Amino acid sequence: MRTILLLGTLLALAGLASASPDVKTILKTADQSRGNLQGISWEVVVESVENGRTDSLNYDIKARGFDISGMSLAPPKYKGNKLLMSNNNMWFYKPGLSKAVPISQRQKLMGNAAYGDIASTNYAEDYEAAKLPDDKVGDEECHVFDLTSKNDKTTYDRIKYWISKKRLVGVKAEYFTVSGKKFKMAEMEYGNKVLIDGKERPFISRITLYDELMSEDVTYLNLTRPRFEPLPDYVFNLNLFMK
Amino acid sequence: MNKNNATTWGRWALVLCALSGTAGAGTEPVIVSTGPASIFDEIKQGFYSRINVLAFGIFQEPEMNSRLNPNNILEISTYQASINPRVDLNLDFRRLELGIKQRFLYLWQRWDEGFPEGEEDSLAQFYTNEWFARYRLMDELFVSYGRENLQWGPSVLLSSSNPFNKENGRNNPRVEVPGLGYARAVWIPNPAWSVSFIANTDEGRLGRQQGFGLNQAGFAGGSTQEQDFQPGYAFKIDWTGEGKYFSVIPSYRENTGYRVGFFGGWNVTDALLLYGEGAHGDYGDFELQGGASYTFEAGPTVNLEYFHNENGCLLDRIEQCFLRGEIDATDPMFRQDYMMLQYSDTEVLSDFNVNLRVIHNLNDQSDRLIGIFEYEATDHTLLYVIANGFTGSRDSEFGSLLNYSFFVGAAYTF
Repeated sequence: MRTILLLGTLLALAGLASASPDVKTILKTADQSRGNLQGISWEVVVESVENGRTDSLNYDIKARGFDISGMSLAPPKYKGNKLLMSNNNMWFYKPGLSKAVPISQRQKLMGNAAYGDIASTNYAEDYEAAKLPDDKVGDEECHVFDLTSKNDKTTYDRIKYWISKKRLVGVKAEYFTVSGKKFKMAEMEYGNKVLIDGKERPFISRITLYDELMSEDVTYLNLTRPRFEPLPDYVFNLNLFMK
Repeated sequence: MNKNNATTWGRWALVLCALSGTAGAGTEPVIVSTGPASIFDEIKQGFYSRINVLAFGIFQEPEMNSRLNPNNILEISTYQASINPRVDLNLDFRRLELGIKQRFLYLWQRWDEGFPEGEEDSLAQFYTNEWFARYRLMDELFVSYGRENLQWGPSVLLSSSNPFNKENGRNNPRVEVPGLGYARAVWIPNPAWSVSFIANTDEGRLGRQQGFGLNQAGFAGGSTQEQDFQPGYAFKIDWTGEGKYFSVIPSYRENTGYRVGFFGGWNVTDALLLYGEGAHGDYGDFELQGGASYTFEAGPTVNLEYFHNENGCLLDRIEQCFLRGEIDATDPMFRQDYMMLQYSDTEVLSDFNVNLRVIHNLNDQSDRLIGIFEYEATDHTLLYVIANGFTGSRDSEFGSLLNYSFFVGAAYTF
């Protein structure tokens, strides 16, 4: 009888586990649609609408984990500007500057977009996740997690993250300072498609960033032409950074 | 997404393939690339060009009564006008990368005060400021040769760790630092370490620039042409850690001996950076820089930097430093101690960028004040004013050559 009860309990637990993946698996699956830790190259078009005025900036980005090497392609006045993020050290170069200058992580890419927004996410490994009550984003049922950063590498200290239960992709995020103040909100779209382990998966195509004041100001990150390719160390080496 | 992009993405999608690998990489998306369809496509993908045309005028008032420039004996022109098209071409093709920075300069000058008063002059020249050929022997090892502006280090005032050219051009971003001849090998064994061997094979464009104020090699010209050029050799060993970096640069040149340069930086917080740079070498050569930068939440960044040069000249009269041979012509500045304060904001009133800099000479109490103002008029056009003001006695470093100068111009990028 005891054996039957034990087996029954185990089967019930196994059933629960298969019906509801654990937090880390959910986050890891969502991360797979937000980048590639081995390397990804893509074109990022940043559009910023501030006070009714629209500015845009095109970057050719190579990203591996938190490391980023990027070069601005347009508009012409910014063409040739370069950015390197290597092991949490950031360097910026623009033609005429003669040399790359170190910049702090607080520097913004454009509008509400931080440089870290164009890096791959690795929330499953870099954040401690606490499950919050489920919620809906639009009509979509979502898991909600309170993520707290485990290391200094991350762009954001705390994130409230909505992950679609059906698609297992992050659809909304709110970003908080260490003191708990919300300062930014993002919505993600997944118009790209990739194959992961032979299965088609949606892949990030657009991030819309709003500031904390919920003003009309908004920044769009349009992520196009993703190419997964292992990126060697030299891509992120400062000695080869200047053209 | 345009049709080309869609086609390219479609091509990538077709070759998508999930590969089994390490446990960590096993669930990562992997694409096996077949590469571009043809060599022509490959060349097109690896080609980069930037064409930038600068037009500018300089109005400057030479200091006539200083001991270094009595009656404008140094022939500093009052007016200059210039057109300076700059063409940058770059091709990254498989293991080979080629680059060239071809320039044309038309310069007109007029002298209104002192020697040679009332005269005008002009010149036109094509020149190659930089070019290089770089070959990737393997992902960890690169070799290159060419004429390059090889710069490093975090400092603003100058790059004291650089044994080849300490001038980093940051006092006037519209004037280029001359390229020098280098052969290089760069070895990158892992993300944290890299080692470069650098041979400075010739003087390149150093000392060949025309026009006062258009020379980015220190006001003595930065040239070693007075002496026979001697090749120089250096190793550069770089370490990059989590939010920190450090480099050591041992070097040797026959006429200046052995030297060890170094620089390092630390990202203390997301807003505060601390950095240091310096060198120690033969003949009492000891230079040290230390600085900090802080970025405010609203966007502006403030830098504070100190520079000490043990071989700097402490004689009261700056012209005596030259007459007694107590200056090094390759130094951008000639005294021992300096402080610099800089404020920069790239988002003042949306399209307006400003950079304000004060360099204070702690030895003779002279100052150089620099204001760099840029207005992004259109997506192609940048308007700029670079204003310089100089204070100090007729014996001082910054008070000796100019009272003020205005560098006003426009840059159009195609």
